[in-house]
Amino acid sequence: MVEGSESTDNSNNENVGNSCINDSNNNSIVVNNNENNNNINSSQNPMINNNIDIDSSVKDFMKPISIKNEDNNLKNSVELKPVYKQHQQQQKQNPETCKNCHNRISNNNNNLKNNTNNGNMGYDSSSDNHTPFLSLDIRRRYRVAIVLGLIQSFGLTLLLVAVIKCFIGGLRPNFLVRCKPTPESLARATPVGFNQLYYSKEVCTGDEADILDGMAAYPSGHAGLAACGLVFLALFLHARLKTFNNRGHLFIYVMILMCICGAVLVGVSRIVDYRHTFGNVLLGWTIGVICSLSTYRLNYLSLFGHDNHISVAHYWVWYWKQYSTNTTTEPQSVKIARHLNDFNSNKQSYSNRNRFKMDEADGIILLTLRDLGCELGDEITIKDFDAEIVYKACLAYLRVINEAKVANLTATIPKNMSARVNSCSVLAATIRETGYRAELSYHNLLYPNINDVRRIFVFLGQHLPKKEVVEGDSTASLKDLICNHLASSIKESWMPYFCPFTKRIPGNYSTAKLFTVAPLKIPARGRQLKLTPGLEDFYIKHLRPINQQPNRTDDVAPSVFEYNLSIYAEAQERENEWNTKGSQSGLNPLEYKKNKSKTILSKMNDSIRSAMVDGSSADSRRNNTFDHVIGQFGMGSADDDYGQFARKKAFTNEEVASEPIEPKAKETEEERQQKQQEEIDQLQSVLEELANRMANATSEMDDWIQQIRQLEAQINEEDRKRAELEKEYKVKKKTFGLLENAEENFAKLQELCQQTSASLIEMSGEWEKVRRPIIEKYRQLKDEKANQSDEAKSKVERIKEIRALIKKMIADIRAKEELFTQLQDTYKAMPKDTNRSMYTRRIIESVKNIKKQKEDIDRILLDTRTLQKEINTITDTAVRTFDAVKDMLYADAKKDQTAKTAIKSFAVIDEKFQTLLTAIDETGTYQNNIFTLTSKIDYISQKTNTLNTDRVLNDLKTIKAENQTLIAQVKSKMASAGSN
Amino acid sequence: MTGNKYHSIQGASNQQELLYGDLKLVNSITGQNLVQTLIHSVIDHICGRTIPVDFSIYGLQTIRTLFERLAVFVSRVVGRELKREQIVEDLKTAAVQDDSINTIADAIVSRYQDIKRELTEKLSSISSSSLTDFDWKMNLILSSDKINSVNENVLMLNLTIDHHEEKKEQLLVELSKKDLDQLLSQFEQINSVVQSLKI
Repeated sequence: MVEGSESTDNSNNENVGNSCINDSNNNSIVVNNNENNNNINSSQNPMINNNIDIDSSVKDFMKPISIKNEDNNLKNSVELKPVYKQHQQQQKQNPETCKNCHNRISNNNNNLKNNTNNGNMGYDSSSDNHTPFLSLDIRRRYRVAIVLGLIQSFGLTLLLVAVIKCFIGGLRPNFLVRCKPTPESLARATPVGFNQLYYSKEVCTGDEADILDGMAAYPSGHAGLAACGLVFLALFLHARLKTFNNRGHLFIYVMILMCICGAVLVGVSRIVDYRHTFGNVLLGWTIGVICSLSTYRLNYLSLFGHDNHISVAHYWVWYWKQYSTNTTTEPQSVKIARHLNDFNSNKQSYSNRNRFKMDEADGIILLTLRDLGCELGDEITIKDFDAEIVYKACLAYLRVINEAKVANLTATIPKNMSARVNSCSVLAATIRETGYRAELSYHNLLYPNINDVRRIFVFLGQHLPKKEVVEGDSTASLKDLICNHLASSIKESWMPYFCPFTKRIPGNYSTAKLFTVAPLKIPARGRQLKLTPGLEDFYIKHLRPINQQPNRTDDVAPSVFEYNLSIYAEAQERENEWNTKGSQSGLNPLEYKKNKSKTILSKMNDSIRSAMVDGSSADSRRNNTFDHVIGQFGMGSADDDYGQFARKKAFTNEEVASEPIEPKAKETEEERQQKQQEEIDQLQSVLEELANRMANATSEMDDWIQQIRQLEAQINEEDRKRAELEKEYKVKKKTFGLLENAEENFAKLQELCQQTSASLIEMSGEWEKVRRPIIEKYRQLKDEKANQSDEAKSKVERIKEIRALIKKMIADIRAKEELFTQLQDTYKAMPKDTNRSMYTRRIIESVKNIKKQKEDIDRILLDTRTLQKEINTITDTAVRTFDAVKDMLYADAKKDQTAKTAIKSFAVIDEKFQTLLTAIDETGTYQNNIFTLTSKIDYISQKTNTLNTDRVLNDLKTIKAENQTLIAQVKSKMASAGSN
Repeated sequence: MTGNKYHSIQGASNQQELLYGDLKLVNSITGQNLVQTLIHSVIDHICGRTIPVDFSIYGLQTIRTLFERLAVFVSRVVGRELKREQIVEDLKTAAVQDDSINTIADAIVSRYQDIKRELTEKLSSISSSSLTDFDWKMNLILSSDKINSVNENVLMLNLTIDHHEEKKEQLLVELSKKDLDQLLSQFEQINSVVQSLKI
């Protein structure tokens, strides 16, 4: 067994060594983490939060590629790396989880976001309509970002290199080879410069272009271009493959390192070829690296951060989607809303609707705030929030998000103005650190503006860490703890206990540790204590404490367990027996016990007697001990001289007798056998002798007994004879006494006879009298007895029935208990999300809102339809009347001249009307535009209204007052200092 | 002797009565506490616990004989299931002082059940062997050297068997579930038999 367990652990070790499986394990862990820490990641990566695209479970692996469409995802990733294949497989295996987490993310945040978006935009936009379009859009932009970045990088490098080459130039190391100056050309040329030391390129005889090229060495264009391209590639790969993402993939690292090495090698090759000096190459490298880094950063969100795969374009698309008021594409609902506005153009209702939408978002925010433990009034809305509440709410959010940063701040906003500003700026800074991208400083918090506040709260709400079910010690049940311990101990690899790193206790694997048990005596109160006089004394003075009663201290616990268990088990067994057998016998428990003990005793006696008869009856001692055994079992009636200890002695004697044989065991087998044989013979002869003597003695004894019996019989007979003779003698003596006066005596006798006969008759009459009631009574009693027995029988039957019922009910209860435990298990197995109530409340809220919206939309649609119908009917009637008038006029025109003019004027009127209609349409659209513009103006004015001048003035006054008091203090201090 | 018969000795046996004659030595011990301690340590000795008590002032030999005699007396008295009065009478016939009689009788009566149990246990050693204790341990075999995953649970059962000879035997068996069920059913049968013999 122990070997088996060792090998288990070894195989586990092998598994750990196998990187492939290990990797897959890691992957699964990563997926889980993403689910849990969604919000944390999203702070770094705006894309994730967006409901548009990224499947968060894939994100860590394939951030750049994973855009909504999973098929695309797969295609792209297959080319990239074998590692991804695995990931995909995993994804295939549990697409459920992927989908789930995606759905959850979007569900969690969508309501909030949509509502706020709508609030900003002013109309209902269901963002899901955008999804396919936007994802394609992003893909295109995304590729553009790569190409654009590369082109920019190359272009910039080329430009810089060219410009510096032009301005500085410098000779290549191999310039003389290119120049090929000859003595003739040297003589021909005119030296220039200081002391006529230098020559111009006139001295060269080589190719003109070659010479020009040789004079433009600084900086190295090759090195620059190579550096720019390859470093850009390296950055790109790094962004895609996430080299340092705690996975330890050497392959990716080497791949990226090779890019850098390539750049270095290109530069080195230039030096080796005598085209450039090291300085040239160094500058080339520098230019290339700087250009690539800068252009990469230009096109992507960061160089080495987690979001370095997200292009700027992508980011802005996402950002606009969230915050912009301008949308280029309008969803259907927006069109309807606009149409509606055309019709009634009622600004009041519009703004009402607007507020309505905002209220929905506010409701969710307020709910979250209350969940976070912020005390808010029932009727309060975000519009009513003043600086104090905003401060409190921000603090509540940040306490959950980032406890350490806001630990120093007071719970309520401080009274002092400067302290107020300080704490507000701290808050603003922490919010910005969490990733808030819009402008934010202390005045936004101190003078809250509804839009800013809402935006901040929405942002913070998104960043709330998902409350995991960290149950802690209090709620984690013992079972879970045990399960965890078992799971961890199974996962742990086996080590021999003598290894220095082992956590195991030695002996854990062996069964060497034994729990032995010693009898315990535990003092108890009760009847027993009162009845036995010495017991209390014993308990007090002589009974040792339980932990000292067993001989080994290790045995204390098992002994106690054993003590309890034995008492319990005995009681149970007794109960069981009584239930199965005792109740059916129809006796009292006590009687039943007595009966049973009797039967057992008789059985024992029988069995022991039979054993005695069977066994060697020659051994008289044994007989005695068995008699003693009988005596021990309760009766104490055995008549023997040998007691317990005598018996023991007998056993020891036997042992002693058998012991002397052992030392001889060293002798040879034959001798021993011989000796044994001899001994056996001897013993047998002795035995025979004894048996003979025994037989003789028994025969003699039998004879004697027979004689005694005969004699006894004789004595009895003689006694009998003597008694008879004595009787006869007495009778004869009396008769002789009576014979003297016979007559008198005879008369007396007759009288006596008569008297006795009379009294006899009397007595018989009396007896009759007495007898009758007695008989009646007897009969009655007999009847009663019969009845009683009947009753008893019926009662026994009823008891049996009840027992059966009890059994049945017990079975029922057990079944129900099992069911209960099962249900409890299932309940436990179900995910415990304490947060659920909050989310459900939120969901319910949003569902309600959605219902309301739906009703509104339905109503509006109905209105539009009726309106459309009316318009149709009116236009129809107009057209018909127009036609009718036309016909009439034409009919008249044939006859009349005036009718013709009427037709003409009619046509003119028609034309005028057409122009009028178009004019009306135009005015409608203009009105529309005007309306949108006014709404924009409203929004902007609201936005610009952040600095409430009155409040600022008030604060200014307070500050001035504070300053004056401070100045007064300072002055007084100065004065006091001066006086001193 | 005095002609009175001991209740604890049935039938005439001078040897036994002579042994009982030594019970007088109790009188030489002064102080009832010491007598009590002595009698309780005697009973402890019978019950298999050895507790050293210092009686050295009375001479080693006397104490040893007294100890032995008392042990004989106690076991005999309990084996005969005598009542308290009979014990007192026996002690009187053995010419023990009244105070000591009371103490000894009280001690014996108070620990009657313990002594009786111990004696019956000693008596049961005439049978061949008996199960005195057991221990168990569950093991889950995850895999073996040949098979990757076995996932079989076995029970290590440790039985302590007393053969009433020199040593107790430790029997260690590994049982699968089937074997264990079989064993348990057999034990149940044994238990039912034992129950039928239990009062």
